[in-house]
Amino acid sequence: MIEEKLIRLVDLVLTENMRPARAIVMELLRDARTGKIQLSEIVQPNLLGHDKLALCAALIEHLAAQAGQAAPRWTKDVGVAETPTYLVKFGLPKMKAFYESESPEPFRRHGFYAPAGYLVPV
Amino acid sequence: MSDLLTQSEIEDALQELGKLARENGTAIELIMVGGAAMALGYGTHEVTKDVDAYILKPPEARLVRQFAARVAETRNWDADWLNDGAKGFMDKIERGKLIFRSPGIKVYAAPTAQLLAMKLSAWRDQADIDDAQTLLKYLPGSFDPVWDSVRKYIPKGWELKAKLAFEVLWEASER
Repeated sequence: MIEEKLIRLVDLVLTENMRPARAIVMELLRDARTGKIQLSEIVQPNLLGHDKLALCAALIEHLAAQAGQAAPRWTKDVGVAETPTYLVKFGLPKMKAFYESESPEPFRRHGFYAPAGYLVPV
Repeated sequence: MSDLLTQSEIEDALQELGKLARENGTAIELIMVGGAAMALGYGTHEVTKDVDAYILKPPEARLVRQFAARVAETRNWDADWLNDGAKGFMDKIERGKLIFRSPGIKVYAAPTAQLLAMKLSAWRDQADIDDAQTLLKYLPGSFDPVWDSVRKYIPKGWELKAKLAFEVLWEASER
């Protein structure tokens, strides 16, 4: 179930369909904070392609950092996406340096760049 | 509560909130920001899972939170569906256009320039950018006057990012 949500989240993020993406993140964070789910127990999803898996790892680490939980060990082994990817395309290349400097660490670690506050519910 | 709130769901909930206020001899006034303000005031069709609003009246804001919790119970929503999570981005509290009215409740959007300032400061993802593009259409004029109207609402510390975001937004608007 949680793996299915993550696969959907990866696709929503890559297509910049952000309102449903935000909703999934809020739901996962709420479940993590109430102890309903343990992010460290998420098994590696069966995703197509290395870069999608790298994004999935980044998203889980981003969620774990916000929920104060540990990420699963496998996310570190996934490494960096083959192609550096800007998750917000609008405003490129003018905003490029901004996105690079602001990017939350879990995304940067896996070769993705996003603005500060990306998928951080207020 | 797992799905996004639609405009009609929010309106129904606000109507019930007003009803509860009247039953308790009070009236509610809210200033709404974020996705709900976009849906009710600017015709966007999707909203986020919660409603960001500043409580102007009654002075006892806790009353509104209690009413909101009762509204949530009947809908299986989170108790904090109505919250002030965006207050940190609101240096100024001003009424914009009236976007919802029902017995016992009036809801204003924040001024359009302020909503745009908040979107430019946040600039988290394409959803913020979509909203910013919509809001910019409601602010007539050339670059400098529009920027001046927006700039005064930008929270301290966000000026540089907001200005850059405004520039790319303006370029894309082809005005």
